[in-house]
Amino acid sequence: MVKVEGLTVRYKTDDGYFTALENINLNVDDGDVLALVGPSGCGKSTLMHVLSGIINTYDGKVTINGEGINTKKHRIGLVLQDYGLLPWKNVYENAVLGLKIKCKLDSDDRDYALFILDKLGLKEFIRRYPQKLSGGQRQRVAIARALILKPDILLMDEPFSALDEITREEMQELFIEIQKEYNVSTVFVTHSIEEAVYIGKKIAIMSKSPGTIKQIIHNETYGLKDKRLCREFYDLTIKIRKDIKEEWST
Amino acid sequence: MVNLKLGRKAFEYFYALLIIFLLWYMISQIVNINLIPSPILVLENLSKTFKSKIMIHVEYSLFRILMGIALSLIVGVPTGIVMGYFSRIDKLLSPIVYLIYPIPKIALLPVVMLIFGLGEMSKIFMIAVIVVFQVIVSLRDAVKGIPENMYYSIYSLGGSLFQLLREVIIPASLINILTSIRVALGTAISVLFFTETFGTEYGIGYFIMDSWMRVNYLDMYSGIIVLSLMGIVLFSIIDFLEFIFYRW
Repeated sequence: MVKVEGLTVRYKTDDGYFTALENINLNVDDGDVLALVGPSGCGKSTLMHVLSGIINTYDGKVTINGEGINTKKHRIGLVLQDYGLLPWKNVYENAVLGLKIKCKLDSDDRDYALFILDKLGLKEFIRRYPQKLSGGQRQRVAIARALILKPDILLMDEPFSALDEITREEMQELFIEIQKEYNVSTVFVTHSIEEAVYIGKKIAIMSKSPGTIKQIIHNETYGLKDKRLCREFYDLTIKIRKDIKEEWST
Repeated sequence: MVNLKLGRKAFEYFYALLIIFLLWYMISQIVNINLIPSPILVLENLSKTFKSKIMIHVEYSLFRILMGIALSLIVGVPTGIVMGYFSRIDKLLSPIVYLIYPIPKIALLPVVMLIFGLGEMSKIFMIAVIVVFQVIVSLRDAVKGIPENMYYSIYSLGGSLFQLLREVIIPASLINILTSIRVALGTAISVLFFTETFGTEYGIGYFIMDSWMRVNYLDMYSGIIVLSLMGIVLFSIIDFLEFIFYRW
């Protein structure tokens, strides 16, 4: 379980301080998916950096399973918009990078890595370098890397926003499938309301900068099959759109 | 495809050599003086005397140049990386590097010779001192150019500085290390030639100057060819390393 209490983040700038996040309170229960949706520049990425231990100067309390974030101890799977793959490592080397940094690889780890890569349809590409892959394939490698780590928490920072529409929907489908199977607690950042409704069990809506949480919605459509064909999916999307129309404009 | 690339490179070298020798031959035939002998005579002389006369000089020169470059890498690579990664250290060191970089350090040769003597050390040191700045500057810029995002996954995994170095920084800047050596090589060979004209009886630079003094133009040109070949071979080695490491 991931708990964020009273989180405030300020950056030092040339003229004083800039408040990126203000008094954020969030919970992600084990196995849940929290979709975090907000306008550009609202501090979504800052929140991800706090959760992934990249930023560690902040006010408030952030815990994973009751302990303060410790990148050495916790297993944090991070999937970034630009994939975060290393161009000089091939697909397999990139995929096991997380584990390799945590511990020495044994043969079980290698088998598991190959199993996950196969699961994500990457088996035939394991010797390829990222530059020779399509955007969707690269993103699958990034997801594989996070999953192979068997993470305590999976952080996805606008993972699909650089993909074309069709690939994006495929990846969303794939993500839901994988998430169901492995039950990883996930924070999924997106700027698309539709994507948030499609993927999240809870949907947290952020305000413009400085980022605060405006409301948290329990997504009743979570787990529905063929959601894009369901009325409820569109109703909720429209409702959220109405709620934030004023909030995000100007 | 790989063989095709190498084959093309070999062809380019061959083609350039052919043109140069052809021009040389024409000029030697037109002017017809001792100072410009025909390349055929020079190559003949080279093949006769290489083992007995020139080999030993090549060994000395190669040793000096490789040691000089090694020394500059040992000092320059860590310095460049540290400057690139820690911006505070960069702020402290950059002004010093920029101030010293453009000084024609070859002018310091007398001082270096007074300190290190006339032997090998002063020549190696001279090469290193000139090359090291190119290495530092290009490494620093390479490390600075690594996008932050590449570090993020390592940070979030709790990677140590050593792991960051091994997985990200070194591979990301490897190509620049090779490029900086390539740029440095040209300079290093010139410096080598210059330093070998003092206080030594070995080295291809010495051999060229000595042949010139003895008015043995065939030997002199043989020496020049050998020195050029050394440069080309070292360049090709860098090309080859680049080809091996830069597969992605």
